[in-house]
Parts: sequence; structure tokens; C-alpha cells
Amino acid sequence: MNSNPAKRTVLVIEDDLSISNFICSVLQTNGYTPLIAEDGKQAKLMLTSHCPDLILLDLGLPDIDGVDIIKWVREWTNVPIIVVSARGREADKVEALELGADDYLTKPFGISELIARIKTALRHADRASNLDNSGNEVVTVGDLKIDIGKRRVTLGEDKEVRFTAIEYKIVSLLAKHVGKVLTYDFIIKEIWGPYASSDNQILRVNMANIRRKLEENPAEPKYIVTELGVGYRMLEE
Amino acid sequence: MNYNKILKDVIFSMAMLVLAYYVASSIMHITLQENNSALIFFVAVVAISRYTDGYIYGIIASLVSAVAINYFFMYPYWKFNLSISGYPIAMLSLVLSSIVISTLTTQMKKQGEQNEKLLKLQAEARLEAEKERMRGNLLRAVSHDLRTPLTGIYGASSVILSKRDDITKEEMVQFAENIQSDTQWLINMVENLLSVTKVADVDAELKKRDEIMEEIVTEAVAKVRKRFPGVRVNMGMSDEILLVPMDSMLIQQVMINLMENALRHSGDKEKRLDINLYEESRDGKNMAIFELRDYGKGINFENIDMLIENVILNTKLASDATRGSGLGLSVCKSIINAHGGFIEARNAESGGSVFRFGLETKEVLAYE
Repeated sequence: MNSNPAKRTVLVIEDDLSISNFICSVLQTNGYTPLIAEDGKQAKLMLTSHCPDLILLDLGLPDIDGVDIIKWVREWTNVPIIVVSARGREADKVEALELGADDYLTKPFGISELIARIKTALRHADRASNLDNSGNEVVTVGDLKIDIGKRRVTLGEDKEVRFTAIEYKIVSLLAKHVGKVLTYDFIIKEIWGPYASSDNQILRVNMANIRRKLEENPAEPKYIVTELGVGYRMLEE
Repeated sequence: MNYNKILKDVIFSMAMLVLAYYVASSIMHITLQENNSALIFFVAVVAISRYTDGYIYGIIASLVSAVAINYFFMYPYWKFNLSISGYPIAMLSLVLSSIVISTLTTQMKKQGEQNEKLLKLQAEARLEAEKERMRGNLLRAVSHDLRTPLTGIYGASSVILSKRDDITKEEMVQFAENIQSDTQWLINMVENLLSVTKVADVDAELKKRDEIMEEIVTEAVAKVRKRFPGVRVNMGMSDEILLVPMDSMLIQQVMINLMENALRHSGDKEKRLDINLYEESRDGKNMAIFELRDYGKGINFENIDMLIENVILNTKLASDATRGSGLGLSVCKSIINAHGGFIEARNAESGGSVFRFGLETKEVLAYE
């Protein structure tokens, strides 16, 4: 663990110089200490000697498959991993997430997206390590309030939203992981059990109904975002 | 060796000969004359030559017919006899004329088959030529369209570098913003290019998955919002959940292209867009409709077809400022066509233009 609690270290595993320059600059501006590895071999060396607080991993590395790094890392630590991949490579992202990555960024991405994902990942990692599972969690996103303890969802001034049992399970699952992307498969297994079919139509139909109950203007979703080809994410404040 | 076909041909030939025998003998019983038997067997030989593969069945049938005629329909009946004067010549001429007829018929048949193949090849060649032409046009238009934003980016960064000690903060911001917007435009161009390679590939089948239309729209709007901050999108959708088999990346590209075109060219300073999703029946099929309405100056009617028919790819007509609107629309049309849908445009009564496309839906099986 980093000795200076205020400055977290982020290991950036990226072979393209322009991109790593830009990322390092942004990280420093936002109070993080960047470390760079240009390929898989270097990454493994740095991981064993530095113990970063978060890993930013480009899936398009020249010498090694990004997923191998994820598998290797997950054998001995739960450090949050955010993968970076190109558009159209959704299957790669899903595979990475299922192997233990926590979130992803799609190239090209902006500064705000990068920082937001890093903050979310670190927050969830902190919460997990503090073992705060009291079950009295209340998640708030703007007007939306999900009271997991009381099993109640309200929009604005106490206007209760009525969900079916399945719909509520989905909403509360997303709320428990607020800000983080959850893959279709993960949600299906959590809600319908480990032997459920991975045909996600039933999930998507449920989500469409949930959206109709929550979102005023579907062109501007305020609470739940669809990550096409990957899954869903509940937005953080 | 297609044993199936050989078996069929043999059975057919035998059946025709047997049929000829029965017809000839019925006629003989009715008219008490046997002169017509040869003609009836000729008809059988013609049929056999027409419907079997190659020359052999026709030729064998000719020989068999001649023997059959002599055996069944020439005195002495139920005996093969060549000794009666005139019979050998009659037999020979029977066999020869039968073989000639058979050969001619088979040749005609082969000629017909060759012609068919030729026409098919010609049609395929024309299609290939058309695709090549489209690809050529596309590459030309893209190269042309790429150079403008690239010039902008190169220029802006050159200025920043050359003025590094003198540059004011405002100038810096201005040039950086120019670089940003040119880059955003390039990003969309690259996506369009990738879409075209997916669609124009003759061998590749479009990979369709069942998608929920509104989810694609939301993602497309989010992308457009990144490039055009301040855009005001109003979305209305029907209560039914529209499930559509599609390539989500490509259809997303269509929506993005349509929205970007509207924002760049409609002339509406307020950047208003109305999107409507609903179901419509067309030719007995259920279609999911995406309708985009802008509040700009509308489309010059002559240009709607021109726009969609990629005439604007002709660089004489396209100015730098139109920045590939024809290109974007031709990509839209290719993608929608590849999905078996339709795309159309018209002007709205109260001003502005309406673009809409439709894709076939699939039924949603409602379950918990």
C-alpha cells in the first residue's frame, strides 16, 4: 500500500507514447501518481515491485494479451483494473470484465470519463475493503433514491416508483454497484441464478420497462445508462 | 457421379418408352393402323433427350425404339424381323432419324443452359462493377474529406508551436478547440469507413443480433452530444418495446450520421432535434421506425434524391463546408439496404426536414 494516503498510484500499461503522455498529465493534475509500463513484461515487473492502487490496462498491447495480465493479477490481489479498448471490441471488454476487470474505457475517451471511472473504481475498492455490508444502504442519484434496507424506490419528493420483484432486484443490484458497469451475464447470474440461460432478452426487456418507469426523456438518461454490447451502469452523482 | 440423377434419368427414359408403347398400341387398336408408332416413339425420344443429362439416353432410346417398333408394331408382330424386304432400310432410317432428333434436342438443351449461365455471370459482373464504383467513389470522397480536418489540425498545432512564446491564452484556447472539433469529425469519418467495409464486403454476411431499438438510439444520442454539446434532443417512443435484429454498431452509425447531418446543415442555431420511435406496418411486415426531425431550413427537394443517391460524392458539387453529408447519407442507405429496411426523407410542413428509416421487428416474447 502507498505510504502517502493522499496520493494514490496508478499504473498505466500502455504502449502508445502520445496516449500515455496525455494520461500521465491528467493523472498528475488530478492528484494521482502515475507509473508507466510499455508492455506486458514491464507491467509484471512494476506490479511486483510497486503495488499500485489502480491499474489502467490497454487491451491492445504488442507482446501479451491484456487478459493474461488480468488473470495473473487476480491470482493475488483485488486491485481495481480499468481496461482501455477500441470501439467495436465489446467482446474483449466483456471478457476482461468477466475475468475480473472492474470497468472499461473506450478509445477515444475524454479526461472527465477517465477521472470519473478511476474515482468510482477506487471508491468501490475502499468500500469493499471496509466490509461495509450493513444492508442499510441508501443510494441517491439526483432525484432517485433507492433505499435498499427498506426496499423502496422514490423519485423526487416521495413519489414512490412501483417495480415488479425482478425489476426491483435489478435496480438494487445496479445501485449496490453504482457508477460501475455490470455485464449482462453478471446481472443474469445474480438475479436468475448461476444456471440461468445467457440469452439476455429477458433482462433487456425488463430494463426497457424499468427505464420507462424512471426516465423522463429517454434521450437523456439520468439514472441508468446502457453500455451496448456490454451491460448496464447506474450513474453516480 | 450423381447416382441419384442417373437413376432418375434411367427410370424416366424407361417410363417414356413404356408410355410410348402403350400409346402406340392403343392407337393401333383404335385405328387398326400401325404407321403412327414411329412418330410416337420419336416424341418419346425427344422428351428423353430434353430431360436427361447428355446424349447417351437419347441415343440408346433411339435404338430401343427402333427395335420396339420392329418387334411390336411391324409384321410379323411379337418378333424381331429384318428379313422382309425394305425392313433393314426402314430400321436404319428409323434409328438414324431418331438419333439425329435426339442429338439436336440435347444440343438445344445444352445451349439453353449455357445462355442461362452467361446471363448470371453478366449480372454478377455488373454488381461487382457497381460495388467497385461505389468503393472508388467512397475512397475519393473520403480522401477529399479527410484532408480538410487534417489541414485544420496540422495548421492549428503549427501555429501553437511557432508562437510558443508569444501566444495568448485566448489564441491557445481557440486553436485547441479547432483541433478538438476537427478530431471529432475525423472520429466519425473513421467509423463511417469501418461501417462501409463491413457492408461492402461481398462475402461477409451481416451479423445481426436482437437489439432493443431505444437502447441504440440512446447511445447514438450520447455520442452526438459529445461532439455537439448544447444539442437539444427530444425523444418520444411508443409503449411497445421494439425488438429488431440488427448490427447495432452499423445502425448506431446511421442514427449518428443523420443527426450530425441535421446539426451541421439544417441551419437551426438552437440545435433542436426530435426523435420518434414507433411501429408501422409496411407490406404486411411490422417495422420499427426511427424518425428524426430537425427545425432547420429543410432540404431542397431536388437534393433529397441527389443526397441519397450519392451524386454529391462527385467532388465538383461538394464544397469543403458540406463536409461529407452526401457521404454520410450514402453510408446510411447502404447500411439500411443491407438490413432489408427502407430509408426516406421529406420536408416537414412547419419547416425543417424529416428523415426516417424502418427495420423489420421481431416479436417480443413477454416473460418474467
